[in-house]
Amino acid sequence: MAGHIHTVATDEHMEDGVLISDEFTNPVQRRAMMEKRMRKVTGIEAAVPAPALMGPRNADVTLIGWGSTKGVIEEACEILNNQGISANQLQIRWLVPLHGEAILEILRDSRHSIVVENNYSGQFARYLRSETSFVPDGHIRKYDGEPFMPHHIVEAVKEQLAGKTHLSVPMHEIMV
Amino acid sequence: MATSTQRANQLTMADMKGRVDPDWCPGCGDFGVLAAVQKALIELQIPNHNVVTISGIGCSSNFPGYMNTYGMHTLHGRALAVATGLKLANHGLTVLVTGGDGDGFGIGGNHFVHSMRRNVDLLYVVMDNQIYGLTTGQTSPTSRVGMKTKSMPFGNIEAPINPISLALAAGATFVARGYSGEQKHLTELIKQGIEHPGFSFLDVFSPCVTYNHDNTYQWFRPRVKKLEDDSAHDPTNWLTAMEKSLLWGDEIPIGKFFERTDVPTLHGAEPVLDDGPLIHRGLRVPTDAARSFVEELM
Repeated sequence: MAGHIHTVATDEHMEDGVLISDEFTNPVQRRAMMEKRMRKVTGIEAAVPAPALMGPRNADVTLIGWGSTKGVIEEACEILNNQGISANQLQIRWLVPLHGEAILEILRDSRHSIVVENNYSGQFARYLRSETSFVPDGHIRKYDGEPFMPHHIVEAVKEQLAGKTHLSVPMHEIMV
Repeated sequence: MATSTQRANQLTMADMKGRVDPDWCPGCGDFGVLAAVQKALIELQIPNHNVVTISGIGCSSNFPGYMNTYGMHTLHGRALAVATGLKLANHGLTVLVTGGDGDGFGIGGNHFVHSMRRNVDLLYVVMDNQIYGLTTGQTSPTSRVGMKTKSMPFGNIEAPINPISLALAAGATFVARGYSGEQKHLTELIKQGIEHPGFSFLDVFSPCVTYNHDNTYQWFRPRVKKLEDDSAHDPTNWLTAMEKSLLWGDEIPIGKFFERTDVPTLHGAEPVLDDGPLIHRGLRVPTDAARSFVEELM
């Protein structure tokens, strides 16, 4: 269309597409573009729902998970509740931006918090700590290439509430 | 195109220049390619608002920023994929894709082959300097065996690809090679490539004066020989074009190796596009339904 020519750029550019990433730079514009981008992140955080607790309030244990562990943690909570150990889950759906203050608000009241994640090094626990300074009471990790099963989490919660360990690594049963 | 004659003989070099000047090294072959592309568009008098220049990543991929046409500076190696989508969305536009040998033959090797197979109607100009220049001098897919670079200090041990043979084998319908030091010849090839209905591949020797000390202007000048000067060369003969593409040494052919115009273009073969470019057609969705859908996504 005549009179509407512009360049869609991936490198840093002005509002009309002129590149300012190399020697034709403009520190004032570059700063304005960076600030504009970062305002979008704040906008996204406000637009998407903050995480909420699932299960009874004031539970004996709060299991923190993200991603594919949601269902199995929910089942583990059911089993624990039936066995007289009240358990709830904090499922994090938005990692970036992370609703740090809302998460802290919830975890401040938890009696015993455990991060459940399917990796060796506790990637999510580390991320949560770097974003919020929150350090959980314990960890349940698995890194054998197989998913969690409810009883893995149930047994790990029991041994941690009994004070036996802060890090449980359930052994996956081989079923042929 | 009906609109191409609208502003006949009015476009000048000033109309084609982008708002910033290239930051290429003094003497870079890409300056010659940029000038030739601009000259070709002026000679063809294609209004610049009907042209889109699309690139990936690299020194030469800053090209769209130096042109006063529509432009898209996309992801590394993905310029042809974006260009294919753009051509299908608005096939009334003249599409130029620009980039380097690393971006096109290395990172984008997959898109290169499949765009040719599909005969997407566009001109793909590769500024081939046989090295990764933006990252300061590593072996690229077209670096010669034995060439010493930062990434292969004892000499390249990998055989280079032959872009011309590859293009012929993959079914490109226009295959040519230019040299940045031969402006008039290069401009003519670009014009032919733009006018060709289908995928036009133009590999251009564009010497990197900073990082490639093997393939210099001095190296190319005595070697390049124009196919147009060879009266026996028949660009409609695929087999002899393939034979010519294998010549490399004291004599290196430049010019049009091959062209055929009997293969349907991708947009021409797509029945959905029979009624004209997609972009000019209604959504066929009621306005309020479209609006509520957009709101749902927001």
